[in-house]
Amino acid sequence: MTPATEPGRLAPRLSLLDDNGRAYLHERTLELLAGVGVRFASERARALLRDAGATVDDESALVKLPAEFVERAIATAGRPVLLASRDGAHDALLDGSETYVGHDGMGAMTLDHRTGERRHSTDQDLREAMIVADALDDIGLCWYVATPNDADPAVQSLQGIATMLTASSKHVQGDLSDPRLVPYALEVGAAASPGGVWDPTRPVFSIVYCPVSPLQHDADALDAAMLLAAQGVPIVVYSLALAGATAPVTLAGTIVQTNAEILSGLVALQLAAPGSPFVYVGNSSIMDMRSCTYGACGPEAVLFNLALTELGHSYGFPVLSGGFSSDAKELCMQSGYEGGSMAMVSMIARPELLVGVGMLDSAQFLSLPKMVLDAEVVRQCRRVAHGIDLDDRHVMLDVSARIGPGGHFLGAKETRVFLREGEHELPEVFVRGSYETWRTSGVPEVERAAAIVDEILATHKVAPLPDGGEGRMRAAVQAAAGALSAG
Amino acid sequence: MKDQLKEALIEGNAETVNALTQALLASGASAREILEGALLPGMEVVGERMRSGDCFIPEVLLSARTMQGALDLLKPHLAEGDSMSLGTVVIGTVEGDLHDIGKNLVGMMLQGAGFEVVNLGTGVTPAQFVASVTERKAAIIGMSALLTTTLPKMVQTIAALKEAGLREQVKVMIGGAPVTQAYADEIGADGYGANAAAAVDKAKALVRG
Repeated sequence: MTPATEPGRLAPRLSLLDDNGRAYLHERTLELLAGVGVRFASERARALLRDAGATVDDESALVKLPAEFVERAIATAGRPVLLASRDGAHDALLDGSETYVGHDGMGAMTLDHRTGERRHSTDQDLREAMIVADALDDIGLCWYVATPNDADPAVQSLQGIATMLTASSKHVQGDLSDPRLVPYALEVGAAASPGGVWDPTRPVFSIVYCPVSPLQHDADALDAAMLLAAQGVPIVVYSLALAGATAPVTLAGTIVQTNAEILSGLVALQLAAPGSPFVYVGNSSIMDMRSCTYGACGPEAVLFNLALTELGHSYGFPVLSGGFSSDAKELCMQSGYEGGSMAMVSMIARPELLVGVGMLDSAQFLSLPKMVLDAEVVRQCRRVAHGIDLDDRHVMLDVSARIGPGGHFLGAKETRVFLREGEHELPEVFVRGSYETWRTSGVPEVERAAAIVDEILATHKVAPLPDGGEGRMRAAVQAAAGALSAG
Repeated sequence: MKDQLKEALIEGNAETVNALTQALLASGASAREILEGALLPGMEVVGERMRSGDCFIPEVLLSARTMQGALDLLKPHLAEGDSMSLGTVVIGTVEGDLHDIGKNLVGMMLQGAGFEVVNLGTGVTPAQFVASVTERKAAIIGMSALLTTTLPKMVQTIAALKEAGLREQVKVMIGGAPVTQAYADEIGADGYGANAAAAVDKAKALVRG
């Protein structure tokens, strides 16, 4: 008898690049970094690079990075990366065994499902998005999904981290682009950590750092990232190159530039904090050539995700990729298809992090009901990624023999057992069943999702912060606002 | 020849546009005739195609750049005091913000439509915008922001214009991803463009009063 394929499960895997393709993209990236170079506005980064032997031109801030710099940084980055949760129950260890799903970011607007109004986001919107994420098992970490526009602009991102850590017990991935805010962010992180002490081995928040395409690193944002990396804060380097506008119009050209932007960021971070935890971002986009807007989705984004996820993995980095998001302005066929198809393909490429939940309009506005709908998509993606369990128990020949031709399997105890084990993914929000039932008592999935949001917000209890945590966070944000306004 | 010039402009063929512009000038056509008989109608077509989604942004930019080259050729032939410009628009990305692609695109489209455009770049302070009203004789100030944290700079700039007693002399337009018509109304801006073509239409409407 032929045994089932080891290890008893066949799971789909998607691979776009072969060995030659990966090597070619890597070599062209090194050529770009060494030949064209990258502009580092940060004096500190330039000093580190110069001391390490790179060719630095202070006037243009241009740095040419030799291949060995990049190879060394790839080798020294800390791995595996732990994205700790403040309660210890929702840790995300990025060791390749699981894909953790997070929100999209960062929404200047919120589509309020209670009023139907699209308006500037507030701290309360961010808080609610965290509570919903906390309640949904399919969401593994929290992103800065809505900017608190009602907070002092100078400390908005810091307020965001505080709100996120307060309103969810899951790991928080935020934004911090001002080095002056770093000590306050660490105080906020400490206030949320067990015992009220910042633990560099268990960072409860991480930071998304974005190079400025093409091939530039902002001074303040990179300085902040370097300081945070030295304190054990994982840095997610997210290039937002737009093919055709801030990157070459071709997919291959954009992939190489995106890779170069991420790796040059990594070089600076590893020089500032050798061994610090780093996450590679396998995601890039195009500019829509009719409207001149950011196109988050579509076939090009799917191919970018696949290629870059594979490239990041080939370096041995944990990878963050994208899905769920859509350029659509409402919950509709377009939002479902774009977000769902990109999530499915990304999931099968098996990144460690997959973000994009809860937003519409090219990640410009938050929709809480979409979080619930996206969680349904996550479950379907996970079911596909799990694949087919393949062994004699699952083939069920013994049961087929017992039931025989003409019988049915509904009454077999194995049917119940396997259903409970998750053999079928049963939708919680999407509609199945007969048309008549739906006509008479069905609720459209968007309304159902909105009702689930309302129920979560009314009943879900988030694990409290350590004693005095909220007060410490408030004090840190106030102190930061005072210090910054004092200049 | 004017029709050929118009077509060459729509195609963004700089070489042909320059040659035809010079040939028309040599044949005795006035700068204004060339502008109004060929170049502006050509850009109207480009703008129309952009609005209807029939051409891509890079094609629009090519035509706008080609138009600029032709205008440079026409300028020395203008009668004294005759201006081809619909007015001067001073544009800039507000202080604290580095994003400028959208703003630059709007600038090129405005130039293509016949405005004089002064691009102050990124990180422009309220004081710099205010100074531009007198120094550059701006008819319109166009402020852009991508970051929500920098939106308040738009409010500060409008306040600074009022303080300097210049608010009535200049129209204020704002744009950028987080900006909405409602926000423009809220802060007392005169116009908002949801995209580059809409910004040009709005600017034309504002200068025509």
